Amino acid sequence: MADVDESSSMAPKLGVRFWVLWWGAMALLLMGFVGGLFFLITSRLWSSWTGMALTGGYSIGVFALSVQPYFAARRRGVVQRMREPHRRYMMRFLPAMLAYCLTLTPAISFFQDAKPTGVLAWAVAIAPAIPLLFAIRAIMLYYKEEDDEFLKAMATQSHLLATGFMMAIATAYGFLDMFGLVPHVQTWAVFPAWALCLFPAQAITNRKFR
Amino acid sequence: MGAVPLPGAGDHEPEVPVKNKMRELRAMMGWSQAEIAAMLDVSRQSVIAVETGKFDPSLPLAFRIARLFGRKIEDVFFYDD
Repeated sequence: MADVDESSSMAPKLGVRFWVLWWGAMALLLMGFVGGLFFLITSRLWSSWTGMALTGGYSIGVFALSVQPYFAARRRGVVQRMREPHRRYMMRFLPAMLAYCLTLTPAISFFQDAKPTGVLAWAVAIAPAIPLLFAIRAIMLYYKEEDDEFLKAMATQSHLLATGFMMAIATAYGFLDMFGLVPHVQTWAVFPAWALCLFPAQAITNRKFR
Repeated sequence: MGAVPLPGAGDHEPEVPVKNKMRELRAMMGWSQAEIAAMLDVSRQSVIAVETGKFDPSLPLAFRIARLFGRKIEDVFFYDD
């Protein structure tokens, strides 16, 4: 007989202990990254290689941690197998973001140290943007391939909310920047910042449907 | 005459909420949420969201759900007025 009285919650039941440990590990990782960045810069050990090692290590750590809730839920049998459109999205988006993290620091360092010109300068300058374009493509393909209307609605709401957050932040920051009150931020930062905005956006969307 | 609100539009509750008997019918058939999700080729989250009335399915999905239970759509989804 099937268990009809199943949970009406969509969030995997992993327990408080799991989430405390998970958020703790995430916070430690972030502190390690910020601390490492501070150490490298202040001790003049910053180079394309140390920077790449730090950002690469941090990215791999975030990737490894971000898949843990899914695997933990599967081990406990509280979620079904990942749907194919979502699996394809993850397989496109995460490597693209990892490639971005691994490309950005060397590109900046190389440009500052080697001062390339001509075609090489253009190639090096555009290199970090290419993985981000693939990440944007992964999002667009997800919308095309996702055939579960509820999951698509959740993704749409999260992405719209994140876009709203990003526009609000960019607008306010842009004016502060124009009047020289805050450090200038390059426009390429908008996509990584939007990706960060997805965290609260997804939390709000999940809460709404829980 | 006031404007007819779009079902599910905005954060406010629609004036005439759509209810469903999905959970009762599922219990009668002895199906789990995971089983019905597999039969409909949707996620378990979708089944939960529709069952709890937090998400109104599209007309094609509503028809598929009704057909799965061997019922008419109005026997599964109805206005709570």
